[in-house]
Amino acid sequence: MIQEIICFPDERINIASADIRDFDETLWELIDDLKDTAEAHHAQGIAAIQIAIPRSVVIAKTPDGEWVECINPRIIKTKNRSLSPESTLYLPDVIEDIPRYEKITLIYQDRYGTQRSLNAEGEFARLLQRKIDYTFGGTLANRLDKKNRQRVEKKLFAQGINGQFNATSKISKREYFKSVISKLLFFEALTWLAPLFHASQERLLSFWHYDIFATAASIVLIIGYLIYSKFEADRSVSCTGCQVVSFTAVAVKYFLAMALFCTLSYLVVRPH
Amino acid sequence: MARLVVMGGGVAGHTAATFAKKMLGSAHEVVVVTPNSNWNWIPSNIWVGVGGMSKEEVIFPLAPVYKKAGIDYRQAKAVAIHPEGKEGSDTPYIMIEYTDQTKPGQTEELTYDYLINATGPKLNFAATPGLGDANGLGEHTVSVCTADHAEHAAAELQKCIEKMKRGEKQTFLIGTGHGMCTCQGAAFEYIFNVEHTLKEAGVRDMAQIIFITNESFLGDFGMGGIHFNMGGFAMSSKVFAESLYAERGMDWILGAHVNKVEAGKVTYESLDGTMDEQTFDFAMLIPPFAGVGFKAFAKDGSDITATLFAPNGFMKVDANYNAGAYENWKPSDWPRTLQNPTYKNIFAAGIAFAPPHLISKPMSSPNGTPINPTPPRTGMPSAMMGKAVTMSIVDMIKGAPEPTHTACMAEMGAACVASAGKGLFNGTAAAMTVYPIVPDFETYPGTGRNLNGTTGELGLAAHWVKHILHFVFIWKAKLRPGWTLIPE
Ligand SMILES: Cc1cc2nc3c(=O)[nH]c(=O)nc-3n(C[C@H](O)[C@H](O)[C@H](O)COP(=O)(O)OP(=O)(O)OC[C@H]3O[C@@H](n4cnc5c(N)ncnc54)[C@H](O)[C@@H]3O)c2cc1C
Repeated sequence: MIQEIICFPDERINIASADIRDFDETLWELIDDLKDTAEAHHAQGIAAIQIAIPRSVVIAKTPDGEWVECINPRIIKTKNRSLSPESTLYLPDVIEDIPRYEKITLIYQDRYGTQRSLNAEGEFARLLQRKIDYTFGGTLANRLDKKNRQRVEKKLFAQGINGQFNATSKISKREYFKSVISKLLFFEALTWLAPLFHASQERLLSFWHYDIFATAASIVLIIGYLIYSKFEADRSVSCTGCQVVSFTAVAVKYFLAMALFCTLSYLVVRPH
Repeated sequence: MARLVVMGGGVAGHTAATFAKKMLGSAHEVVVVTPNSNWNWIPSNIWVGVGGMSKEEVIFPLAPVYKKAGIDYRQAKAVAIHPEGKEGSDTPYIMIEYTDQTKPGQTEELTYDYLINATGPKLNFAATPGLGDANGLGEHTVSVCTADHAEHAAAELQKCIEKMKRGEKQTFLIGTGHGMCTCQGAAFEYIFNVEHTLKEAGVRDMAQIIFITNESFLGDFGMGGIHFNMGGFAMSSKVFAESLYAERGMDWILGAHVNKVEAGKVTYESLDGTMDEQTFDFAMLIPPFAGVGFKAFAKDGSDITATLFAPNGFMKVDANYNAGAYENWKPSDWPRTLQNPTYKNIFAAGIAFAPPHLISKPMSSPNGTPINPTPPRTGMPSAMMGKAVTMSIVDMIKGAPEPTHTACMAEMGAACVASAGKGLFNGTAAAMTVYPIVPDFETYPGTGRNLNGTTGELGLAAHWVKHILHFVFIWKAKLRPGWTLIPE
């Protein structure tokens, strides 16, 4: 059956696909769906996650036009890296130069679970690399550097598609604390510019009040961050030394930044 | 008065013994049998191996610490277990052989009421011809598994640096020395530290650096990969690791079983069944691990080693060793109390217990050679196991009929901070956590992991964390004030 293909900015593409453990009807139906969907889109290959099924299954057309079914594929050998333009159904109308290997060796299982290997080169090798990246939660974008990634994001935005690569809703809530503190401090830093524009004493005073507020709020948030991190670590039974030291170090880093910012504000912004 | 004997004074054994003494006080006896006079914070050996830290910074003598704590310390290695005692006595005992300068080779029978086996791994260099033999590390490669090995590795690395300064190109091969190795994390850390060191020495352009591993993809780490969140972005350890390697111009060889090491050359079999060679000037290859190889005897003197130990030498505990094929594996196969099913007063903790099966997907080459990482049992789970086992034993000494505490790798997360270069301001590290260590496909369909429990961070802050951990854990191990407050 033809299934719907997921497209940017659908975040499900980032899910790492699980290895297939049972080689049964369910798998064979999935393979049929993948073939139907690929044929319908005139695609040379497709990974299961492209139809939102997080299973490590890739089908691809060999240079002879035959479908090869790769279950749990792994690339174990590679040769010669080069750049060449690529596109994918996940990112409509995007063509980018992507570094890939020209020759690869792949091991995989067939639909009955028998292990096989395959040597591929040229376009076929590139196709397999692109599809196997999907099974590990990676898209074309992961192969681009930051600058080019942002350029593609902008281009998609211009086409009315708004999103971010690799964004995930599964982010730890700890990150929100950090993000709010960073924003508070960022605006605090902006107030340092005020004296450059010869702001009035009154304006400076209100900025200084903001700075005091930002400092106080940061302290509260850092404490909140510590308490929340401890709670989160305990909940997942991984309250390890590493975890505690890790979030304590983050808290100290923010605390030092906050103290530094507060001192600078005191010297620069506070009306004398 | 009961006597608890702890075999092995590493991460698990030291944790077990120190907590046991603290909880039992002087009413009961705690004995530690371990062959080394020094305690070693193993994760920092990586830095010793590149010359970034001295050996003395990662070890400290055990005797004064145990003396202060009131623990009976025997510098000896355990060789055999007699869980039923001997003729004329029902008291179980172990045979120990002193390694201490004053009475080397002397043996003694040491009776116990409770026994913890925390003897960690035997570094099985002999498994790969040329990697080493029964006496340990061979002449062609280096290792960072012990502080002494690491010191030797640093000296060899320095020689290569000198050669490169004189204009000679060098090839560095770092990774696993057998198809059934674990501890890829250590090799991963070491390769980044070597790369960093060569860069600092200004000879990076003279070096080709290659990673060789039994993993079927970069970033498997024996756990089937980690999916984590880095600065709010979902990342798979494969995508992440590949970009780290590529960024630093390092190559990798995957799915490799190194089957022979010669001067300047390894031969390896790949997962596709082909044989290949790789030359090197410097090679750090992690050996496979096995149990230390105890013998066990029944009361009548008959050999019951197979009752207590799995064929690989690790101790049998309350795990399901008949789980069958990959598709049937469940988190409940993993041990919880770590108690031996036959002798209820024997427990195992840390690397010493026999895992029920792999964590990563099992794989072998068409020739039938298994090539897959074996389950990692890193420091934190080892310490948690040591502590849980101790608490159970303390309760059992006080009358509990069954173990009261559990430490199960299917219910535990692991945090790992992999350093990629030491230096206060130019160091960097990747921090990642994964929960649970053993994937639970029923609770978390798909990858078997809870994404909310996995995070990763890369950069200087993570490097500081690693550095702080070094001091924090040595502080804890030395039983300095507040040590009980420091988590495992
Ligand atoms: C280079 C390297 C880097 C690592 N980095 C990390 C890291 O960053 N994070 C992490 O979590 N883990 C790391 N690990 C893993 C970690 O070191 C182990 O998980 C941990 O040491 C296991 O603890 P253990 O108590 O089971 O074994 P060990 O710590 O190895 O202790 C075993 C003890 O038993 C003793 N012993 C051996 N034979 C006998 C005998 N016959 N009788 C009595 N005693 C005996 C040994 O001398 C030793 O003291 C690293 C490992 C290596 C090799």
